[in-house]
Amino acid sequence: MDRGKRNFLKIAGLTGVGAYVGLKGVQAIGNKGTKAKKKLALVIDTRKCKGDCPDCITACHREHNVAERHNPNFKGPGPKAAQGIKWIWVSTFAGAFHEQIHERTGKRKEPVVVLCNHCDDPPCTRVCPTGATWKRKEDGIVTIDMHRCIGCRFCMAACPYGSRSFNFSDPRRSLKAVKPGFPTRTTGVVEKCNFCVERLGEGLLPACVTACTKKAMHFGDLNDKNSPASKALMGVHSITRKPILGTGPEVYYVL
Amino acid sequence: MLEKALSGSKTYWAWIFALLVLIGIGAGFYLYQLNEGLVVTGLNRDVSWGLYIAQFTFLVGVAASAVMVVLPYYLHDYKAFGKLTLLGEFLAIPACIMCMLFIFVDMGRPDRIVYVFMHPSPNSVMFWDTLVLSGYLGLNAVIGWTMLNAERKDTAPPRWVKPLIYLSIPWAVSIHTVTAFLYQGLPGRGFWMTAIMAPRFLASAFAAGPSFLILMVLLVRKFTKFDPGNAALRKLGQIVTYAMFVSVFFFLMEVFTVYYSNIPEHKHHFWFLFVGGPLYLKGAMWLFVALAVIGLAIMVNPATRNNITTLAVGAGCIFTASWLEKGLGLVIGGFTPNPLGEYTTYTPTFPEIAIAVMVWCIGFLILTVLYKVATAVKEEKALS
Amino acid sequence: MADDKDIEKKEEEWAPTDYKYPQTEDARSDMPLIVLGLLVFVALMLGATMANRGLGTFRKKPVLELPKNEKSCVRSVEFMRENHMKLLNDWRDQVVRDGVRKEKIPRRDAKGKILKDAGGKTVYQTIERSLTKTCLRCHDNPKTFCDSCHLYAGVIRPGGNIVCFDCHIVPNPKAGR
Repeated sequence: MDRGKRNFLKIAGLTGVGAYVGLKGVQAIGNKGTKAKKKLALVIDTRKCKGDCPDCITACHREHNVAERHNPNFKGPGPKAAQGIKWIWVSTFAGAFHEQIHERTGKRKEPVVVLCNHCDDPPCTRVCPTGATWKRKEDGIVTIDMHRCIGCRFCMAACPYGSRSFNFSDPRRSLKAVKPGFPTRTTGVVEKCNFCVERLGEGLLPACVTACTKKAMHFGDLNDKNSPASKALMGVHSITRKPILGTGPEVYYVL
Repeated sequence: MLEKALSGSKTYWAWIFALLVLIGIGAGFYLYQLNEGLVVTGLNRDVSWGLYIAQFTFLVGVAASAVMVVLPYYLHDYKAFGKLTLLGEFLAIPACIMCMLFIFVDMGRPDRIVYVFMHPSPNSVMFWDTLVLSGYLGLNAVIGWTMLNAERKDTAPPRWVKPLIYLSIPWAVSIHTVTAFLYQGLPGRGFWMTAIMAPRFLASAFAAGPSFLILMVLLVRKFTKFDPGNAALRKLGQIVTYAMFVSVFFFLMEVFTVYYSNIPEHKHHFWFLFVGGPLYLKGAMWLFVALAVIGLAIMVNPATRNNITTLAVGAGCIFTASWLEKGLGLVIGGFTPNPLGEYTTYTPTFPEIAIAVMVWCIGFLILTVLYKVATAVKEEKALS
Repeated sequence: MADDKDIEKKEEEWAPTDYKYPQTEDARSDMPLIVLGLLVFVALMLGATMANRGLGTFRKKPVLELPKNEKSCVRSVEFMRENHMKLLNDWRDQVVRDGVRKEKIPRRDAKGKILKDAGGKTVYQTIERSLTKTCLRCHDNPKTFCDSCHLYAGVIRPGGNIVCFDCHIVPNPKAGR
């Protein structure tokens, strides 16, 4: 074996080891924070919720000053409908579960409410170049630091559920009334459902759960067998959105 | 050496002035966007990246394609490219700068760009893209400038340039690979979820970049006394031909995979681009097909490839085709339909186009200045 | 080896002493351009300075409206004057990123002196790290407090807004944000 070949093999070997170590490092960093102590989850009972009332959406969007659409009183460029912001909204059953529907799905074609899934292994946090979004270790909530977000929208491309919205313009222009107590956002940052982390801190349930008059939403820690969410999942058939992607959604739909 | 860019013909100054005017107009629209937010663009909740990021993606390819002249000359000692390598390296510089500017104008909070460096996140592909792009810009600037200086002073280039040149070869491949990783690593985006995204990017880049270089060489030849020679042009033509065949081959592989497997989530994007989308997009995609076919027909025939006039036409066709596919269809098609299967139309607005034109013009301005300096030095050499 | 004379001779050959530098025709023709460039430079610098200074804000000393009911802050006045922005950024990161909302601080008297109990031990109180709930509880109108200095120092422009309040809502309805 001549020296050139030996050197080549050495370098190739070292490169391989280096690449493996590098990849492991990246994976370790990418996976940080995925092991949550609590596993907060939302269970939506589609037997009760037919996606035909706006209660949870109104409550959520009022609670968090979500700028749904353009305020006609404001002069200047305003967001088109497609530039609005949604934290929780109604989708067709086929839209939310298009890989789980067939011609005779029957009454399961009723619309469902959709929101951020607070995934176990969220692709959106993996791609953030500034660490502005991450999965909280203590409760598994996927959160955003609005002060850190640079508005590159990589997370919007990465989210396989279309759960993230971008502030195309100053949200205060689009809000009819600003509710004190929860900050609005600034132009150019991404936002989404935060599982009402501010209400949980005060010992309250998420606004959508409280607002649901049909009692179709159950919230709680899935690591706790006695939480409302765990109980709601017991003995029923439930599904999540796109489980095939391995993201591990924490919003469950009871059929 | 930069002073050489300060003396030129009337045509030269008219061109510079025209670029400055367009840059000025675009800058005005950028201030407008800065004030109002990205609401002034056609971007929306579903198609959250558009013209800007598509241009970025395309231009990373143009930057990377410098390797197509560097590699034959330095690794294979292909002498005909001797005069051409500098033009290739100098093309990579404005291309890299345009990439960075397109990322910058796309940001929602450009004032926070330092956070990318203050809070580096190795788990984000964008972090690596920033690294490799700025590294590539630095490499080409240092190499190009040093080589030109050496040539002007009639000295051998310093020895430390050689390793940098060798480093720039895999580095060029890396910038486009990492750019492809921005897309191909995202779950739930059927159009981009393909392992040949990076090879596809490289193939189309190695077709589009050298095509552009052919056109640039012809312009340089027209306006200056510097001539890299017909042999170099024809070799570039060959490179373009091979690369474009590979590129089209890869594209057809995607079409086969998507349609033979018959998976709706993957089919919908193609359907949208070629059949169901807005007229401008459908038109662009069919034009891409037509131009790719015409371009290849010209390039594959030795008679038309070796004739400099038809070579220019072919290069123009292939450059435009690659731009339509990568600088327009790739990003918009990947976002439509959205993850909920809904179709939202994205149409770039006038301010958005003006800002994109501004960035292109800044690139052309830098390219013009660099080429002016390079050709002035080379003309001097030819005279003495 | 060459001796010194040789080198001198060579240098002379290379740059003979009677060498006449090219006439400065080119340089002279550039004079108007150079003057124009200098003028543009001066105008730009002057304009930028005037934009801040010429508005007259720099002459008025800032007048701060101090809270009526509260005499002590979460830190000493000197510390706050220099470091309030650092403190706010620290609070921001601790609350948003680490979830640490509360902090224990020593109680101070009206003069900013740390209070001690009978046994000589420092008296502590727990506060919430919150711009709207803690800072704005006492300084309830940023217009008459924050803006005063920020205008003077040129941090904001007249009619401008401190970025905090682009998002954070001032609870006091009179503050008009």
